[in-house]
Amino acid sequence: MNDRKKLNLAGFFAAARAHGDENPQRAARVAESLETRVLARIRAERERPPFFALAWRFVPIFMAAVVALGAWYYATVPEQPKTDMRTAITSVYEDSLALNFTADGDRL
Amino acid sequence: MSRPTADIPDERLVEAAISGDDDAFADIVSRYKRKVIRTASRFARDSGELDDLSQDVFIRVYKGLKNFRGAAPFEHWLMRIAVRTCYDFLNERRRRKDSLPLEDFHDIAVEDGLKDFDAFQAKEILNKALSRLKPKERLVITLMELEERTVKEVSALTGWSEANVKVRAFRARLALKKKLGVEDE
Repeated sequence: MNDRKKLNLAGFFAAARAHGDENPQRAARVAESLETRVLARIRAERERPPFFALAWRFVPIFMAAVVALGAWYYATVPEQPKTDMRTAITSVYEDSLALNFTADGDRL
Repeated sequence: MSRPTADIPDERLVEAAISGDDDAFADIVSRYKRKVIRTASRFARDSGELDDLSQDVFIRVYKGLKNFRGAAPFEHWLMRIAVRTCYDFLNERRRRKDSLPLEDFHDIAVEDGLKDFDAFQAKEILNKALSRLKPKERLVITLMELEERTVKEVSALTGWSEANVKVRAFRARLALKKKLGVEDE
């Protein structure tokens, strides 16, 4: 195996399998007391309040923010002039009807 | 862990763990940690990653215990979660663009590879080439070629159809050949 070109894919796989676990110390180190570390994480997750519980705790703050925003909006934004579109349209229409009636429809 | 648990079937330990017996879950970890670590070590680059990955597998197993129906042996169910976790780990690493730099690969493959090419170096080169494959490709190559699992087993572990496993394995081999610059068999 002196030339990489001569080594086909199967050769690479065979070599990798031959050196399958070239670092058994690493695996042994990780395996040691893995149970303890896993259980510690599980207990820590159990004690930590879940996301939804935290979200519910923030609901009053969100509500207060919404109310404050609403109050600020009504206090600072100037009142818009009241323009009723329907009234405007119907009054023009009635005017034209009256004009039509009095002028006998000749002027329109 | 001093209590004798070897005779207790997995299903009993699972029931006990679900009902809050942490020792029962510790027994499950103890029973399967070597298999999980063996699979995870194919994907982790150092002890830290291997430890995190192995822990993640068992945390997922713990969270999913309630979903274990007992239709298949517990070990199959657990190893499916292990493979899934390794796959997610590879995806996450890829998202972080956390693969080995291309120059490193070429340095080893070209400079060292052509001179003194032994089996250990072949494994190193293969590992670096694998780290540059897509997560699905790496997973299928690792399971089929390095762990020598059958198409049926890979299909059961990954949840892919057997036809899909074959297609992905074919594409993965092509991609790997390209990365390694080896000739067709």
